[in-house]
Order: sequence, then C-alpha cells, then structure tokens
Amino acid sequence: MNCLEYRRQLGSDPRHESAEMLEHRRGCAGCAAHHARALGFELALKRALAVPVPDGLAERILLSQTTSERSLRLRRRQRWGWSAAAAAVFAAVTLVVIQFAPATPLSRQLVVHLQHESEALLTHTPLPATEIEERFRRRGVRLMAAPPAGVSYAQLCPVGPIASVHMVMPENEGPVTVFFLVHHKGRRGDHVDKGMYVRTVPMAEGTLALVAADPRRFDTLEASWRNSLEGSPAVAAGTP
Amino acid sequence: MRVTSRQHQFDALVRAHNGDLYRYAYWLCGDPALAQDLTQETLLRAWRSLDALRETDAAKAWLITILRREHARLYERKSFDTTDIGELELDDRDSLTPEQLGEDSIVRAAMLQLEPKYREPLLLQVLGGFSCEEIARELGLGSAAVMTQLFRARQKLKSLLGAGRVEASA
Repeated sequence: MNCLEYRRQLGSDPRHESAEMLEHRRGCAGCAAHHARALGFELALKRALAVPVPDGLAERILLSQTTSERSLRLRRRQRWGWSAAAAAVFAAVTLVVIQFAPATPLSRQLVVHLQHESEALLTHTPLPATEIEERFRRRGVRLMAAPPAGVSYAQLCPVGPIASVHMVMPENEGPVTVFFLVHHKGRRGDHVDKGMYVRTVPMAEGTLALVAADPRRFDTLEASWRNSLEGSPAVAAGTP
Repeated sequence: MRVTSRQHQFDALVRAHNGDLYRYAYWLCGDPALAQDLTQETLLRAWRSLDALRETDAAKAWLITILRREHARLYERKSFDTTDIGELELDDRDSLTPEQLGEDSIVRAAMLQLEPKYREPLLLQVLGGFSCEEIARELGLGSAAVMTQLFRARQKLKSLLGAGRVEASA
C-alpha cells in the first residue's frame, strides 16, 4: 500500500483501518501524522453534527402517537356505533315493512290487479274446462271436480307476492273476477274497495277471491268453486 | 389503561432513536422546527408499520429509510428557502470552550453548504455509524461509489472550512 492509497481509504472511512493500512501507517511518519489529523477532524465533525435534541421531543412524539391512537379508537368506536345504529334502524324498518306490508288490504291488491288487466273483463267465450284445469295444474293445484262453467279468461298472475290463477266469469249481473290465491291463508271477509265488492274465502290449499261491481252471484260462485276445489261434501268425506 | 407490548416496543424505539433521527433530519433540511416534524412523522409512520420491524438491530436503518422517504416527500410537496448561514444557531453547551463552540458553528455552516449527494453519506457514516456497505444499500449505490463520495465529502468540507484551522483546533 502506498501513501495515496492509504489516504484515500482513510478519507473514506477514518474510523476503520485495515491491517494493511495499519502496517503502512506504522512505517510512514507522514501518513501517521495524516491519520492523527484525520481523527481530529472526525472528532470536530462529530461534535458539530451532534446538534442538541429539543427537550421533550420523545415525550411529545409519544403524546402525539397515543393521542392520535386514542382518537382513532374513538372514531372506530363511533363508526361502529353508527353502523350498529344504522343496522338497528334498518332492522326496525325491515320489520315494519315485513309486518305491515300485508296490511295493504288484499282486497285493494285484487282490485288494483283487476284494473291493470281490465281487458280480461271483455272476454265472453267460455274456455274449455281442460284449459282451466291446466292453469290450476301449473300452479300445483289439482281440481277435485270440473270447474264451474262460463270461465272466459284464465291466466297465471301474481297478486303482489302471491301466485294466483286469475279468471273471469261473465255473469248476467256483470262480470265476476275470480282469483285462486295458491297457498295463501287468509280470513273469510267481505269488503268494498274503490266501488268494487270483494269476497275472500279460505278454500282448499289457498284462498278464493271474488271481485265484482255486483256481489249477487258471490254465494253461488263460492259454492261452485268449493265443489271444484274441495269436491262435494260426499267426496270430501270419503263416501263413494 | 392497559399498555400493550406493541406500545412498549414503540416507546423504546422512540426513546432510543429520536435523538439520532432528529439530528439526521436537521442535517437533511437545516431547519430545527422542520426536523422535529420530520422526526415525529417518521416515528408515527414507524408506529403504523411496527409489525414490519423484526430485528432490533435493523431498527435504526429502518427508521433512517423512513425518514429519508419522508424528507423526499416533503420536498415533493413544497420547496424551501436555502438556509442562511448567518441564521445558524450556536448551541448552548457548557462543557465546550468558546473556541470549540465557534468552531462547531463554522463546521455546521460548512456542512449545510455541502451538496446533498456528499452530505448524506457523510451523515449516515458520522451520525448513523453505518458502514460503507450499509450506506450503499440505503442510498442504492455501489460501495465504491459511496467510498468516493465520502472521500470527496471530507475534501470539500475541509476546503470549505480551511482545513488547517479545524484540524489544529481539534
């Protein structure tokens, strides 16, 4: 190692001297003096660079960290609180909707549906019984006897969420719309809604609903449909 | 309030390294208030990713890396006035002679005049105690390049100071 190499390496890192450098310094008075000056310079440099650290810096940092951490936790808790409140409100609203949705009277739903399909009332040609039976079959309902005669319209319609067979029977007193609401368990009742008479009757595995401007044929039709859906009392009782 | 082990670890990290980080930050930006902000931001970032720190020995280098990134981000956001040498404060250190205090202020002024590419490896070596290889890794340079920069940094600093005067007083 020559003096130039020694001084270049010392200038790069005065704190570390390799064995080779040490050997050179021991044999070279000039480099030994240079080494002493370099260490002095390093001491002065280190002292100058060690600017004083502001008092309480660590404490301020820790305070800032714990404070922000705490407020973060608080925000998370609040957010959780809001989420819980929102979920509770949502649940309450859902409950109300579920509980009170059926409160929209079935009679109103039937009348509205009828108004939407008012063209059905214009039909007069009776449909074959097989066609009507087919509609019921498609709803999973087997008729126990032939359907009442005179059904001029039969379609599969939903009434709100309820699957139904929607039919029209043009009677002398005016058309009567008949719904069979499959698997619907309603109460028997007579209502007037929007000027229309509505009768609902639990029947077979659902509810029979009759809607008309004139209710005079309701009793007769109810009996006829009970016969079709449930069979005659003799059949229902199992008598041959 | 229950203090978690994570919080304990962070407390220890802050107390062990806040001084080094502050000094490093100070020499990067030349502004005491900004250096405090940088130190705080560095340690808060470290808190957020404390789980990434696996070895105690790696803590200092890890923190310095965060600090350098924070400093770079700061410069991306805004530009600063260059430091006026006349504004540099002399530290109140009772143990030093007036000559040494005066000498320190001159070295500090010269240090701030040094170009960042020379100043930074010098800081990492003198303040951080990192080896040339470690500095090379931190700065993304080769070891030979770092050694050259360190040699030139000292040469430039000496020439700024009037090397003979500093060496004589040390």
